[in-house]
Amino acid sequence: MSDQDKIYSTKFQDRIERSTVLMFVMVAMVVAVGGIVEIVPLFYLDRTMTHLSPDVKGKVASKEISPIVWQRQPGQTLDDWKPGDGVRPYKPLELAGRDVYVREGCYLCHSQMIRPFRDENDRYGHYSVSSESMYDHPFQWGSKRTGPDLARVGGKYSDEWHHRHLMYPREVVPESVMPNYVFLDKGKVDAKQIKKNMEAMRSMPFYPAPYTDADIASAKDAVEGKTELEALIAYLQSLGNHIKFTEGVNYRD
Amino acid sequence: MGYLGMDVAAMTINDWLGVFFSVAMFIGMVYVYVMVFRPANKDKFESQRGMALDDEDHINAGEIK
Amino acid sequence: METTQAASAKYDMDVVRWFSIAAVIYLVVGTLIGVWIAAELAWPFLNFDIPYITFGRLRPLHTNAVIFAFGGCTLMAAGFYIVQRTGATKLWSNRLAWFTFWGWNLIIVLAVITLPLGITQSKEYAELEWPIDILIAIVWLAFGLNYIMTIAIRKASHIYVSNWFFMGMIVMITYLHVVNSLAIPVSLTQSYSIFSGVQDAMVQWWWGHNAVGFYLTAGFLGIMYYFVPKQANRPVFSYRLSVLHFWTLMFGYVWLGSHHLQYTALPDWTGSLGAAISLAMIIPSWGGAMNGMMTLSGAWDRLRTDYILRFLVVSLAFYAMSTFEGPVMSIKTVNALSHYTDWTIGHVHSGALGWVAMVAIGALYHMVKKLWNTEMYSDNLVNVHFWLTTIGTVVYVVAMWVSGIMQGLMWRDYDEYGTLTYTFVESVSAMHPYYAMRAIGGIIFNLGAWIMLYNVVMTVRQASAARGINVVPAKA
Repeated sequence: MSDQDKIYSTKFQDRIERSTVLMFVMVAMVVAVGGIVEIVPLFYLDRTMTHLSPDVKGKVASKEISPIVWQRQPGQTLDDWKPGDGVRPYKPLELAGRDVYVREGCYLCHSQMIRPFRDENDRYGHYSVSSESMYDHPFQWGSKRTGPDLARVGGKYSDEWHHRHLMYPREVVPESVMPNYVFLDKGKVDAKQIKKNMEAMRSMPFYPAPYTDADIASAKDAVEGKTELEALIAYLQSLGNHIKFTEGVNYRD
Repeated sequence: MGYLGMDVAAMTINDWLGVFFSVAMFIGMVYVYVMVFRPANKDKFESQRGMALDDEDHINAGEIK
Repeated sequence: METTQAASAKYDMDVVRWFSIAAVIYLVVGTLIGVWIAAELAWPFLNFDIPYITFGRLRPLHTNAVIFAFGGCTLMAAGFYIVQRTGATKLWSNRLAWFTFWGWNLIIVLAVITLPLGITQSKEYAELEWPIDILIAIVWLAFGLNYIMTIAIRKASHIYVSNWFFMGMIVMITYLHVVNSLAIPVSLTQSYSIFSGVQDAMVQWWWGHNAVGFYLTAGFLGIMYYFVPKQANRPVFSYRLSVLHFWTLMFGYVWLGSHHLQYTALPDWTGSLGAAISLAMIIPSWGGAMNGMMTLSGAWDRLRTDYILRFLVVSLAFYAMSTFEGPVMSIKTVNALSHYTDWTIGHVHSGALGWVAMVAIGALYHMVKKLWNTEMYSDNLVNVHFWLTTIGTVVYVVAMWVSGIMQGLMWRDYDEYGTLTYTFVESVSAMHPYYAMRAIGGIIFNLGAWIMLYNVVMTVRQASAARGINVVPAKA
């Protein structure tokens, strides 16, 4: 570093302060760096997604562990999927229920992201992996647990339990602070909309839902006449049982 | 100490990019820090500090007195 | 909008007056909704089985009202005020400024209508649906263009530090809003984000943290760097420190979003990077806080008589505290405890009530006095407001600290047989006293806001009466 450099440095700051354009350009460049470095690699690094991660991929290929993402065989419908077959896109009624979940702001009090700690493992189940939310546009990880995590709530309680609990939470859990969602029992799912929503999910630039034309064609009948409450319960029952995790395998690497 | 270990052989291009960015950023921050707090630069930097006080106190927004 | 006398005016301040009054009104409304939803968590019957006022729908309205209605109007009022005065020039376009005013308020009205209806994108602090998002982009660009062009036509040789911070905010919020709002519409009131899962989470918290970092920090630091020296009538303690503060904050804050996702399915490297930079951010943040505080050196006695200065100084104390707490919470081991708990809520509010609201209130009082060229209707009421704000904030934050740490500890507690000691619902019922305490803290704070509104209204009426004309809005 010569003497020249030192003077230049303050001169540079001085020039910035005198020039609107220079200040604008400098700021626009400086604030862009962090986001680019942290976000862009998530779209191309294989290890970001569990099902693309080399180690996991190898174990799936050698049948050591269950598949991460459901590989649908020709002719199969969404109903042919069984828990443990791997992550699949939402069925029409579940997707409609997910819209209700979003609309009511459930994510503000319930997370869907189990962290790899002993207590969360005991309380909620196996830690969440990235591929489990790959069809979630937008993600529903949440940031607050005023109520418990819901990432693996699917199958834990009966539909009847959910029905009672959503209608009058304090009748089932006296200490609960959840609002009564009685009005969901009156609301009907908009059957006209579901086709459009599924088509949007299928046309996503990132992780589109692999719906077949048959899936979309049968969607209207699947949700016709259902209440919002039924849809929400269907959604909740679909959470967290897609992958059959094998004990002792590292899914995070 | 294992926490700070670095397996050079296993590092991918992205790891190296990350290292490069972290180091470059660290140097950049040190550079700004040194530049700003060099006594020789003090007068130039401090010359503008009174600017907020220089605008005269009355606001002439066109109201009728 | 422009009156006949405007020809002789040196500044365009009418739009600033309107933004200032709007900000005070939104402070009352936004915190009132906050009080209501805080009470809903303590006493759930308050949801009344009415869909439109359930917690899940009102919470986004609360955050939007305080951040974008109150915060936004304050930023635009103070921004247009500062950029004119430090540049010794009128606004580049007064008409565009009025477009910004009406456009921004239209957005707020649309938010008030759509959020209780459950029309939401479910991205925190970016809930508004795509048609409103487009409107936000237009109005924001109108604000930004006007601001930057006003800097460009300034008569002063240098750009003042406040304007750097505002410029940083304008650029970054544009980036964030555009990227985070990318979605495929399926109807006028619904859309799906083009991102999903882990990528969406990172994009969202890149936005989420920088709504805090640039909107509520950089913008309000711009306010601080003008109004603290002005109110104390002393030059900034160190301009060098502000240069350091500015560039490191601009560069560093952007990285912090990933610390919201520690131990989630986000790759570890991203979270660790966020945590590392978060720790580094203590230096610029404290530099800035020191810079503001030390501006008062030699004038500390004025705190006894100048209640507006009190707001500004205490806001800096809260800024220093929050910017220490934040990095601590981003450390992985601490985050393991604090994440998902009320501690986060407490941290946000020590920043939002203690720093943002306090510095905004100080600046608004200062501007009201200058803009209407008068003393406050009652200085004592300013003092009462100061104490209500301070006490309300402290009660709120302490309640959330205790409940947050308690939640975190209860969730991870094991008994001697190796089973979880508490069920989840036991942690919920243990929170009740703290949720009640939080609501009370909020009520105290909100009471102060009502007093401010009363005081400001009376001040404006008094000033207008004294002048014999209605100067409030040039519309008259």
